[in-house]
Amino acid sequence: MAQTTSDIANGAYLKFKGDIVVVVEFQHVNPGKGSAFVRARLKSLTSGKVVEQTWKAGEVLEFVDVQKRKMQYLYSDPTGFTFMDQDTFDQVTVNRSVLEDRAGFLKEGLEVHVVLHEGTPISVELPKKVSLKVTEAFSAVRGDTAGGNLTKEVTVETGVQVKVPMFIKEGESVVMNTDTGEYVERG
Amino acid sequence: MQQSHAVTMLALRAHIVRKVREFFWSQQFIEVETPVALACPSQEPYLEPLRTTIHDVRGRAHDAFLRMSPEFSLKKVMAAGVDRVFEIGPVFRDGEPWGDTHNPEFTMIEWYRAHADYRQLMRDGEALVHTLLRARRTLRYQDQIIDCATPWERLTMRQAWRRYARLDLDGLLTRTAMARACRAKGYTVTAGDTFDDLFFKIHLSEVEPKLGRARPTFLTDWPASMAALARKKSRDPRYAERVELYLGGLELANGFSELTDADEQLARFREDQRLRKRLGRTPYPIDHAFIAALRRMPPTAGIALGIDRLVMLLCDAATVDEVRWLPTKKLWETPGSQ
Repeated sequence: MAQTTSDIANGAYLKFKGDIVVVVEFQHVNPGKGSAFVRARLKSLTSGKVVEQTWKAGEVLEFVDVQKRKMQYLYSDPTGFTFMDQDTFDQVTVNRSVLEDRAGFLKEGLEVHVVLHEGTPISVELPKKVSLKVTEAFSAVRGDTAGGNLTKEVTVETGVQVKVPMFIKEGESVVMNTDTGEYVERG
Repeated sequence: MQQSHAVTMLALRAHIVRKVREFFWSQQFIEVETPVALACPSQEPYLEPLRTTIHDVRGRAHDAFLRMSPEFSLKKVMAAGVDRVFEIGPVFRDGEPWGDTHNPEFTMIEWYRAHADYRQLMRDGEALVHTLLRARRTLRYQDQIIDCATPWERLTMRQAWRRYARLDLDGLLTRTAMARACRAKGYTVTAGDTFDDLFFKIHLSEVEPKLGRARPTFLTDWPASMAALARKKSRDPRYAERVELYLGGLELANGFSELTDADEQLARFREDQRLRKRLGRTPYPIDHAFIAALRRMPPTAGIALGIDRLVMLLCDAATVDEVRWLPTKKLWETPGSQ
């Protein structure tokens, strides 16, 4: 049976304007003076750009069949990020653009799901939370919190900077939300 | 005992509703209560009223509909010679989402002014929110800072489309032209899509999400096919004097320079009935007492504003469930006890 807007879900993959996109967010909209619509935010897997799209409820959509493989992160180089299947030792390299803004959450040995379409990796699904070691942090200076300034930037083991509360010290680990990039807890 | 978040919200809501009421009382509006259960619901082709049955004392059954808006009743009040009227009360819409920014039962305020048009409604909206914000000029809502200094932004639909969709709406007012624009932008066009459907594909993706973000926005002058109960612009009848207010990404209010031409209203109702039939929806009886009232009604402007969404904005609540006591979801999704 053809799949329609009622089968849409966050994280679903669609063919859209000759590209493959992932549904980041969707919402049923009923503007009152028109039919019911489904408005979605779609992230292009090739460009990483997010676009808004609206369909009339019930329209047929082209869902993409994907295969998700549990793999471990090995290393990155200019061609991309390489992952390995721990059972078969198969290795897969994913284009840099696929992970771009989330690359800072990739630490060696991290288990992810690599999403494949017709054998080609099209996306990587990270665990919702990733724990990262703080490698560089300045101590909070008295007065920092006075202006409502309750966070600071620290560098973590993957080399990127993240925002964490003032009380976090060098050498501690922080749990980060990989969707929002926000600090969750110490850990 | 510490107050729960729900109780705090309840108290804040009560305070806001009281201030809204006082605002309209201070402007010499008469507050009225009109029927919630109606014999003739409004005829909007894409809305469904909640349907029930009422029995007379002999047990004879009559169809009854819970109002989607008090509009017809309030216009009958205007036709009876009242100059300024408002009502705050529950309205119902069936088949709408349960949660986020919707609840099938919600609270609306509608106000009507004789001898005024939609420009006056916009000034009313500004003054009302100004009163509720007291001295504050900005509103903080879900990490957005909205500058509420008046006058607020007023954009015609044509200006909004030019700015955000980069299209000249004037050239797109036929189904053929709108279909071409949709295809060029990569939207699907199916044989069943009406002009309005195609319009909303672009509007909901590219225009509406941009409205009311940095400042409140009044979006005015809608294509005439979406006029509903609004009168067409005398200088450009391709558009109607309809206004919607957007604040913080929420559609807060919808108002019209009201249509007072009873014959045109009757024709539009018949057209709506035909459209409902085509869409496989039940056509409803026409309220002829309302048509008759229109013949006596002076030029009038009227607007409906969602109280729940107003409370969400003022209390920085993300969903309507936070600001309503016992939202619909809770009533039907909690399994009943034995």
